[in-house]
Amino acid sequence: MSILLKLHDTGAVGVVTLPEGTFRPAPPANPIPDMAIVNAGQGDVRSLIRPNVKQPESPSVTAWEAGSFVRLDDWLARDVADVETGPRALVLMPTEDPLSLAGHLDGLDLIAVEFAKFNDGRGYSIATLLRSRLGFKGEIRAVGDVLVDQLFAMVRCGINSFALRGDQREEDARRALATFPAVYQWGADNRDFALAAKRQPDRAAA
Amino acid sequence: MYIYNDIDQSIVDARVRQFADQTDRYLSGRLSEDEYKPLRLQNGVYVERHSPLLRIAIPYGLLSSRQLRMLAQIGRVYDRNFGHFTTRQNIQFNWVRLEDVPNILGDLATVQMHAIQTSGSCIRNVTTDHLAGVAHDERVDPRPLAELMRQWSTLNPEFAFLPRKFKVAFNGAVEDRAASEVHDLAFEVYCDEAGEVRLIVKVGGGQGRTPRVAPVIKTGLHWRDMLSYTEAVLRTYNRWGRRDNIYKSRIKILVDALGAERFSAEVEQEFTHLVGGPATLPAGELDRMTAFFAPPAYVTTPSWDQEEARHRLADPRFNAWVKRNVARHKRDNYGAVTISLKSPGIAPGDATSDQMDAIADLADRYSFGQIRVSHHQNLVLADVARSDLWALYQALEALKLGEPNVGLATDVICCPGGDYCALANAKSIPVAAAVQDALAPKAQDIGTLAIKMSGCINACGHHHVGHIGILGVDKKDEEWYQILIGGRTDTRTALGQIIGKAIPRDEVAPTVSRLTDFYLNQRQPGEIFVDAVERLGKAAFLAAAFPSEPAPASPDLKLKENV
Ligand code: SF4
Repeated sequence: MSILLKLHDTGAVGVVTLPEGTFRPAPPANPIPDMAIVNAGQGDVRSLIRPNVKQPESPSVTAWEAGSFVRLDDWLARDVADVETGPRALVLMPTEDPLSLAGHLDGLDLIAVEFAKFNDGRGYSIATLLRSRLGFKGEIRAVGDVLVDQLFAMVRCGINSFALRGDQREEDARRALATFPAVYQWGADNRDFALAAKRQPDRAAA
Repeated sequence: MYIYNDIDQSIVDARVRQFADQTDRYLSGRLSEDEYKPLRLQNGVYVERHSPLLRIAIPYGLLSSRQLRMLAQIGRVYDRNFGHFTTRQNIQFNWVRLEDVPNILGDLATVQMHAIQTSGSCIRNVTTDHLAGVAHDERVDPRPLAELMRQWSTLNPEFAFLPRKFKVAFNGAVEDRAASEVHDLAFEVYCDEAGEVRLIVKVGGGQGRTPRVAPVIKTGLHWRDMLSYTEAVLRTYNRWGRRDNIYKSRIKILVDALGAERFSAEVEQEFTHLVGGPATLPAGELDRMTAFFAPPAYVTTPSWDQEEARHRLADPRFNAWVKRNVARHKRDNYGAVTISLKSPGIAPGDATSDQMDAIADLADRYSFGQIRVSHHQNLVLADVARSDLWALYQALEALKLGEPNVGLATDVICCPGGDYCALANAKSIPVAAAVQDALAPKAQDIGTLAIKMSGCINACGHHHVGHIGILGVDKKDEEWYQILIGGRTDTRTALGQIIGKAIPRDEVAPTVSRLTDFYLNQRQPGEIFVDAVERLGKAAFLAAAFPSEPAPASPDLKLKENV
C-alpha cells in the first residue's frame, strides 16, 4: 500500500493508506555496506563521474483520492465554466513556474509538487512561492522521491502532505517531522524562528 | 566571538542525533548508498582515496583555544594525530572511520562546533578576512554579518539541494584577504556617510573549470536587507540554475548565460517581494551581534618596544619573522601574528595534535584565547602585544612553528592532491615540497610571492589566483603540471594565465625557480613578482621559464577534464 501523511494545522499527523502503487514504489533493497571496504576509501573515482544528469519527464502520480491530477497547461487552459465538475488538483513538475498560477487558484484544492529526484531541490522553492507569494491555502503535497530525511525541510517550505515512497516507514517519518526543536530562519510555514530575536536566550561560553 | 545560546545548542545537538540515526539506517542497509551520500556530505563526510574524511566548519575562521584543543583531541582519538587546515577556513581529518563520525560530531557539539554544510550542494561554511576586527585597513568588521549569514544558512530548508555548492564570503577591508571575488556570493561591507552599514553584492565568482571574477549586481544594500536579498539570489539560482550537467550548474554559469545585468534584474524582481518581509533583520540585531566581537581588554604598552628592536637587531631570523609574520594591527602596540603551517617537510596546512594543543596554550597566554584560521592554510594569533613578540617567537621556534615565511614563495597554498583526494589528476604535496626546497634559499630576497597549487581543475588550491599557479593535469594517465602566472586577490582580483605546455613533475620546481630568477633580474625597486608580470607581460616570463626548447613535449595538449 502507499502511505500519505497529512500534517494538520493543529500539528496532528494523519495517515491515509492508499492502494499499492498510488505513489512511487520502493526501489530494490539495498545491500548492507561492507565497512571494511568503505573505510579503505574509494581509490581514484575520476572515471566514475557522469556529468550529465537525467532530467525529469513525467509526474510520478496520476490520481489523488478524489480524481485525477491535471498538468499546469491543462489547468490554465481549462474551461472555467466547468468549475463544479472539473478537476480540483494539479501536479507541478520541477521545471514549471508556480507563479503562472497567479489568479488561477480558484477551485484548486490540491497542488502536488513533484520531487523527481530527492536531491532536486526546486520543489522547495516552488512550494515556498505557492504559499508565501500566491497565498495558496489548500493542500500542497510532495510526490515522487519523498524520503523521510526531507520531510522537515518540506514542512518548512509550506508542504503539508507527503506521498511517501514505497519503502519509507511511517514511524521514521513521524520522527523526522520532529527532528529540530528550533529553527534559525523564516520559512513559508511561518514557524517562530531564532533570527527574529524575540527573546534573549541563555548562553554559556565555549 | 559568538557564543551559542540554548537555541543554537539545541539545533546542533539535534543535528548530531539526526546524523547518528541516518548513519544507523545506512549501516543496516535501510538507507541506500546514493541516498546516504548527500546526507553525509552535508555533515562533512567524504569517502576519499584511502579513507573517509571529515571536514569540520570553522565559521569565518574563528576558534577559541578550547575548540582548538578539542580538534587536537579528535586528531588523537579518531585520526592519526594530525589535521589539515583547508583553503576555506575548515579543518579536515583525513583518516576517520565512517562509523565514528556521529561520535566525533557529538564531541564537537560540546564545544559549539559542527560539520554542518561543509560539503554538498548547499550553502557552505561562510568565510571572511582572517584579520577581521584587527586589520589596519578595515572599514567594517564583517564577522557579525558573517555570523548572521551562518545562522540563516544553517539548515535553510529551501536551499538544501541547490544545483551545486554555494560559497559565501565577506570582505570589510581595503585588501581582500578573503579572496571574496572568487566566491559564488561576495559581500563588500562598508559604512555610508550616515554611518549605516551597507553592502556591495557580487555574484558568480569562482575558480575550477570556469574561473570567473564575480560581477557586482547590487550596491548600497542595507544590512537589514542582507538575508532578504540573499534569499532572492538563492531562489533565482535554485529555480533557474542548470541541473542537467554538473560542470555547468554553479551560479556563475547562470550569471554568464543571462549576463550580470539581467541576472541582477531577475534578483531585484524577486527582492521587491521580500524587502521588508519576515527575513528583514530586527533593528538592534547588528549591535547585538557586534557585541560578541567586541575588542578584547587590550593593555596599554608602548608601541615601540625597545626589547623587540634589540632582538631584531641581534637575531636576523626573528627580524624576518617580525617582518613577514606579524601584520600591522589597528592598535600600534599590538601585532597580528601568523603561525606558518608551511615548514619544510610538512604538507602545507597540516598541524599535529600536539602542535594544536601548544598553539591553544599560546593563544591563552598571548592572544586572549582566540585563534584564526586563514584561507592561506595558516593559523593566526590576532592580538599579540608587541612586547610579547620575542617570547612568543621563541615558544613557536621550540615547536618548529617559527618559520618566517608568511606571504613568501615557501608559504605555498596546496590542496591534498593525489595523496588523499579521489578526484586528483596529480599529486600536489610533493610538488609543493620541491618548490619550497628550490625557492627557500632566495625566498626572503624574492619577497611577496603567492604560489598556489591544485591537484586538479577543481582548484581547491586556488591556482587561478596565485601569482604563480600550478595545476595538476592528466595526460594519458600520467601526471603533468600546467603553470599559470599573474593571478592575484589583494586590492583587486585577477585570474592567472597559462604559460607554456604542461610539464612533468621534475620540471615544476626548476621552472618556477627560473620564473623567480627572471623576476629578480628585472624587478624595479619595491615591485613584487605579480606587478612585474603585469609590467613585463606574460611572454617575457614564458621565455624565461622555458629558455631553449620548452620542457619535454607532453603527449596530448588537451587537458583531460574531471570534476
Ligand atoms: S583541487 Fe582537485 S585534487 Fe586538489 S583537493 Fe581539490 S579536488 Fe582534490
